[in-house]
Amino acid sequence: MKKVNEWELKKKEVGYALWLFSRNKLVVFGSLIVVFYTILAIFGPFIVNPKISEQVDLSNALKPPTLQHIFGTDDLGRDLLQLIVLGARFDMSISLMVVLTATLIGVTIGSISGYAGGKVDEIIMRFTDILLAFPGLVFAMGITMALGRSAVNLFLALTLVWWTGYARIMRGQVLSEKEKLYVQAAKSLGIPDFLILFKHVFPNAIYPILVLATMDIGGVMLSAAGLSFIGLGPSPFEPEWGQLINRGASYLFIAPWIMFFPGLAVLTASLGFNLIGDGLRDVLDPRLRR
Amino acid sequence: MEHDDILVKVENLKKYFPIYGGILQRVVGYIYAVEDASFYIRKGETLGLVGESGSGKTTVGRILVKLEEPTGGKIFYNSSDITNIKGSELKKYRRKAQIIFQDPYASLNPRMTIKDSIIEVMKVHRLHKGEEYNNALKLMEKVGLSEEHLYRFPHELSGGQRQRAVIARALAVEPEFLILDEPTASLDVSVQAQVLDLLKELQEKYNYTYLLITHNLAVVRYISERTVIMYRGMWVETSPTKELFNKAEHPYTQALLKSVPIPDPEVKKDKFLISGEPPNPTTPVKGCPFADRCPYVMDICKNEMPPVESIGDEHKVRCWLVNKK
Repeated sequence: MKKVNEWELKKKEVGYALWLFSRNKLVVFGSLIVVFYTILAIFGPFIVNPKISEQVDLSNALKPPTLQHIFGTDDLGRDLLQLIVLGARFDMSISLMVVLTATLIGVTIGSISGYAGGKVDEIIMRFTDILLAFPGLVFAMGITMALGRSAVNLFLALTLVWWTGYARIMRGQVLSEKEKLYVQAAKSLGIPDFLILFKHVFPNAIYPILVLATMDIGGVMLSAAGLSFIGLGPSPFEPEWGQLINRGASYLFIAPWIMFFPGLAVLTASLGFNLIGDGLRDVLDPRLRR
Repeated sequence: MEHDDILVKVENLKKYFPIYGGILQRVVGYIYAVEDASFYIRKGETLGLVGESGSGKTTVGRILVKLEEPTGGKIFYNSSDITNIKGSELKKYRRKAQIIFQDPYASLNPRMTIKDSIIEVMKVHRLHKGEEYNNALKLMEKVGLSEEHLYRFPHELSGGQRQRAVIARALAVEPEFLILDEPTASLDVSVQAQVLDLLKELQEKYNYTYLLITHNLAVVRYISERTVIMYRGMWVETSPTKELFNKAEHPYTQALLKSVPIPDPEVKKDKFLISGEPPNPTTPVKGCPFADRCPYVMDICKNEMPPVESIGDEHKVRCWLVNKK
């Protein structure tokens, strides 16, 4: 009975999506960066000495880049290149985890708020307003200062600051989608409410969030590094980019490489996610996809 | 005068939409969308519901598929009262009555293929278990589309194809009663006729009952047996369509008929077109709703609601002029 080969169609669509994605050179560049840092994050401890951050060698301190230490050494005589490679794991995973958790919370709360409407919506939105009223980074600083300096607290602080944005956007999306005619049509076809929410409203509302979240990974990475820079990050012996920049700041004029190379890592990694976000929009929309 | 084979009967249907205002979002007034809609439709028949924008005709359609709750009045389907049904009864009713909206593009989920849209409906109602795909194919054939269209997204279809796909989806629940809300208004003129022909053909084959909501008198003349004219949420005249076109009694109906363009520049039409502003829906009607714009208006029209006058088999008018004759 089936004349159309569904697999062929799917393959074609995926192929076309990949082509769309790769059409933009900047997007490809971004994905290469992200893939590169992901590999570092996963395999870093196997590529370089995983104990490097504890191996203080003051006789080698503040050495400029040479063949032996390509990125030079820091004030404790540790090889900067190895520290940066190891730091990828912390910075990548905290940004991913913060964005994932924040998206999850934001999307759930935003959907409930938008779909339920009325009093529920009012209460939830006023609460997010309160959170949004604080400047994000200052708020996160306050939280980490109150909770104490640790990786978990940094994660908590950033998540708490970040989810409100997603909740707001998701609510707006759901509000506009649920009034659309296809939702009314689905209702009149007898499709139950939860299916309408999950199969119709949700998929149409979520895509802008996915694009935003991808771009936000870079933003969270910058904020995490920033908090870490002012001393609110993980313990000093955890290799982390923001902290390395902090170390370098004290030696900016005698050993600028300590600040420069970790800074470059933060910059390029967050840039990579930003570039991908752009390409994602084209791929996720079937109207652009085929 | 009424008959046993009546499928849908609507009595004094009312719908007021509250207007909220002020900081406390209190109800400060109402939009009187539907004041009195009353009609009946026989099995296998097409009833045209005609009115200008804002006459409440679309609201009537939406109430009939239970997308809106009526403020007053009753709806009977197969002689059982469905005005306030909920839950499983409502789900059952939704298998029987379906609505086709004006804009087919907006009424399809842009992220679902036609196949997914149709099969979802069958799954929800547990129809044709395991045979969903083959049935979707049959539906496509019914509406004049082919298998390849099943795999398309709405944006990959033309306007006419989309409307056919929407019809196919509505037919997936095997309904008896279809509400066609301006089914052709958003289509090209050439495609309009095709879609109307398809609807006519489907009705002949499967004995569907239609309520055709439109502002286009040509469409009504082409497809419907009887017609109800609505003005400002109130029916003003109802009659078999042929009779309506020959001897309309209500001044509003007459004006409507005269305002149909005639594609001949030589024909000089007399200029009795409706003058004045369209009515303001936020003030309740006192007297005849058309009184403000009626060329034959009398004092009584402004203050008292005209009674319903029967002037022939199934031809009823609500006008003081007819009453006085």
